[in-house]
Amino acid sequence: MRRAAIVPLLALAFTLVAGLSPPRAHAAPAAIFTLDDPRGDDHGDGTLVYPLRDDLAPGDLDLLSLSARAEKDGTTFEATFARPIRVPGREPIDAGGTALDRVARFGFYTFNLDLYVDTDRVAGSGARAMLPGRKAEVDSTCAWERAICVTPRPYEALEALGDMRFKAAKDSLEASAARVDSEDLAALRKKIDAEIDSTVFFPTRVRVVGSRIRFFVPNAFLGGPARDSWCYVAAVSGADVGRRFDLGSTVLGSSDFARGLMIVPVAPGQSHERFGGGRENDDLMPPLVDVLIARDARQEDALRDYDRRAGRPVRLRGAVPAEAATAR
Amino acid sequence: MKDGRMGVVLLVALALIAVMAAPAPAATGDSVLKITGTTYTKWLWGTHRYDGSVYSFTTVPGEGFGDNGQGSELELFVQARVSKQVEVSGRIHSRFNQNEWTNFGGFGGRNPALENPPAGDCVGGDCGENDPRSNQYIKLRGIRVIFTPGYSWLNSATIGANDFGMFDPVVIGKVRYIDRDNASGLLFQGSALDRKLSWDATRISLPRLWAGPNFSTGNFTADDAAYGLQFKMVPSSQAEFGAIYEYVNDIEVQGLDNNLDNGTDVRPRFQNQVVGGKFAAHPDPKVDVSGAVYSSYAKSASDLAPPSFGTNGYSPVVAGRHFGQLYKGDLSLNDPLDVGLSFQFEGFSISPAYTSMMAARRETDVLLTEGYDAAFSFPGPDNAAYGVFSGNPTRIGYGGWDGTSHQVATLNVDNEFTDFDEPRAETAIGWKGLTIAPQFGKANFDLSGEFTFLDYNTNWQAWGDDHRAIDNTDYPATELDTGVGHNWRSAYAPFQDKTTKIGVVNAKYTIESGKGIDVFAKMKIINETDKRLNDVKYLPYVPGDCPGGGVDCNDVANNYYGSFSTSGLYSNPPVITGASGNDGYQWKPFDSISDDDRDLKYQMFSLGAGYQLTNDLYGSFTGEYYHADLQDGNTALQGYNLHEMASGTHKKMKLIGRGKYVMGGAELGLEYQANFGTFEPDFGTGYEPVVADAGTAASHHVPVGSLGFFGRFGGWNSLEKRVFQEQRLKAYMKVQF
Repeated sequence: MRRAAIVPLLALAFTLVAGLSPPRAHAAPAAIFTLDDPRGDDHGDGTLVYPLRDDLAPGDLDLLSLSARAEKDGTTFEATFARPIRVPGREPIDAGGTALDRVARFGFYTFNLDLYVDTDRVAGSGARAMLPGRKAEVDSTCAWERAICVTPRPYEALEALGDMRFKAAKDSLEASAARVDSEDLAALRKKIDAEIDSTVFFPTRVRVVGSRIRFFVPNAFLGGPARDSWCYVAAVSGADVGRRFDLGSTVLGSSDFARGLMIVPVAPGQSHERFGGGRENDDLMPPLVDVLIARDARQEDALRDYDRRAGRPVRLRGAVPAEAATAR
Repeated sequence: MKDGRMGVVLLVALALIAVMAAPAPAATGDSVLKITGTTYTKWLWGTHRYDGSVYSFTTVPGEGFGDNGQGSELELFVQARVSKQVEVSGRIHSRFNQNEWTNFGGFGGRNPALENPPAGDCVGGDCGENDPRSNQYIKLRGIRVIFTPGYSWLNSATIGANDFGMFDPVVIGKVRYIDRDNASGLLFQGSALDRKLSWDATRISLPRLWAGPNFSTGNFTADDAAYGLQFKMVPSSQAEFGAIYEYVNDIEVQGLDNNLDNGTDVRPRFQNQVVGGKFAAHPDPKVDVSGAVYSSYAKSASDLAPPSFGTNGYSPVVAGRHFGQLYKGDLSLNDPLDVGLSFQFEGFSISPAYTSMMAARRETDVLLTEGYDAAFSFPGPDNAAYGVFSGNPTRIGYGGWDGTSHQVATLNVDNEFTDFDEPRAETAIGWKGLTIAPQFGKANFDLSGEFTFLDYNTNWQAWGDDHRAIDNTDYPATELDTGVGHNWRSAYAPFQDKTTKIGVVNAKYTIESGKGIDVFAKMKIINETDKRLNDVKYLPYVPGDCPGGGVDCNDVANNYYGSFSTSGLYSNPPVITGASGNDGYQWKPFDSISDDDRDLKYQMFSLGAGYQLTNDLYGSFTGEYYHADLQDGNTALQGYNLHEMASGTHKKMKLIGRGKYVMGGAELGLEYQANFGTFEPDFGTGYEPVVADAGTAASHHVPVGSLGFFGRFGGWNSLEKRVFQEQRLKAYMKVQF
């Protein structure tokens, strides 16, 4: 291989892929919708501050927009953040030298992006609770039928969600049933897995391009391409790519690890491991850094609107792109 | 800050003010003691049959390395939030070291303290309970207290252990993972202007193990420190500016101070300052721009630190007094045409004397290029250093490390205590060049690539100063750089005239079947030339000094300046009777500027597939093929007299299987490699090969009667084709709780 071959080789490869097809074939399809979110609001209810760790800084989790485009067999969503998305490198994350990019192998590792979609647009129809650890609900006017969770370890997250829901259901069953057989538990697990498969999707076709992340959601899950008449709530949180078996809840008191689905929690003060600015003795403050909600709702107010005594969490009203466009 | 004392006083005062002025603890309803932990078990198996420790690699004297062994380690992370303002944390941690399961708990063993004569280093756990590396000791680590007083100007004060990753990898870098809380100091972090301006100030106690000339901070170490100050201004998320300053002060007791009644004076052994400025702009999601400039100053006391080095010195810093610079600029065009095509551009230049004692040593990649492949990390064809001398077999193994390399801006590169499946770091000191990295992604298909042109600020003759002897330089060459790849810690050579071109194409396609089958392929090309000594005035002897025909050389040195000559480095050969029965030279006389030329034609191809078999189980299989046609000097250069020559044709195949399984909070993983290949030497002509006698065969593990030649220092280079076979495996289990 002659040395002069390097440049033509590269040029040829990219020309073949990017240049030979007609331009129209590459032109991105028109957006079904685009929802904008204010810049600089990656502070939750206004008090949340980033952890002291060196690979997470203001702007990293600041969602600026969310758009959707119809593709063959599904919808590609694109979320744009204020700063370039941090890409996992080969730096070790444990004593055995496991590289970060082998754990977070989808090109990002610092955030979770949840998208709750109300597809039937019937108030009160659907689920309200957001994924574990979010400590928030979707308002009943936008109760969701489908949730999409873009997370660095989607398969592990899916498994963990199944484990959490199974444990809760098992506890409930054991509390109410006279006897629980292994067949009962197997059936319960099967039911929960089926329920999750039909309602929660963890994208694995993910591409990071600078400050944008694109993820594909098949029509088979959404029931068709995304629509601008549906109601959407988007929530950004810090991602915890570690998975920790919780001894704390049984031996040493409460722990956030098991209660959250790969999410970085919030705590008072400041810390390397958590978002800071949390209120003391407050279990309901959501660790959500940025949310995209109804256009007439203010994020800071929405994330502050919970009742600790009554146990009522934050309730987020969703955005309907078609209505937002009309309002403009 | 003449000797650091003023800095210490200021920082300590700041610490005391911050701590004493902190409000009384608020209600501590959230006070909770958390204990989390990780246990990690590792199983190494390999056909080299080394069992010195449960790590694949180290060069640290007295430490073991091995490709066989089983061991477990445990860490308990203790964390308590005493109040809203105070958090305490620490770790109790065992280490793999030589704690192998075969030690049966670490009892018994030989006791080096009682051995007369000494029986050598403890390796493979043979010292049992008499050596802390094999008696399963638990070490206290990472003790720190974090104050978050709630002031508008001070976000936090951290007293104690830290990885210092909040600074800058080319100035004060993040400490390597396994040492992530070995460094300790004071760290203050604050902000103003509604957090648009932030600052970090630190005093780091200088690690005596490696943070100074000759990997030492001298005899008086307690007050040695690195000071750092960093400002970041982020007026909006679209723009940011930063400035950083580092001052390293390694002091010694002033031996000339005869009046001890007023205390004892100190004097600097090593000082290092770095100042840098950087910016980044994100005017649009489609465009990111950044740039950085750093300038360094380093000075070693010639009587307390190495005043200079010979042709193969070892030190993490250059000797003497030097200024250095580092420049870097990046432009990213993120799918500007909305067709899935992006580009990254990077230009960079790192001067030979750029010095930052606390720069990142590994696990940080300061350049965009993927650099050299880690499969070829040492000069020898089998990844051995000094392999021409018996007793220097390969350590990391024929397969080297996995993948590509991290580039770091320091001579102080660190790949110690790693396994073969970990990334490798390589020094980029002296590099300058340009990288263009296009990326294309559409649907299930991703294509990315790189073209890098590397030139070198270390392209020089006679170390860049031919008014000095060739074995008197400020630059530690650290094994020198020969072999197929880039010797990871070699930045300098006495003569260099080198350019490198790297081309890479990566492709990945996900087949829509089941959970999606990832198919990936890669092609990489490196073309590199290095004319090394390129001026006849540096040839070691006068023209015609060795007449040939079995006639002895005259040994009339050719002086390039005054009485300085390279004849000490490239001495003439004696006349011998070779295996052919002819009289001739033992090695080729260095009589041509082409004798040390390097010309590398390197290709690497890989193809693999990965599949998520279940939500818990991911597996992949990759085949990598390396082909290198290398001319790396002939027997006149002979690997700088120190290393196995690598001129010839190299073919290497790595078959890699990986699996990862998650089960109920435990992660289990495995990597298996079958590495095999050949090396066909081509060392040129102009010398008389000889055959290996029984002694040579035994000491160098070659067949009796095989051809080779003895070099200037008595090392043996075989002329026979070499056939390599290696299998190795690493399996692990990690449980976090």
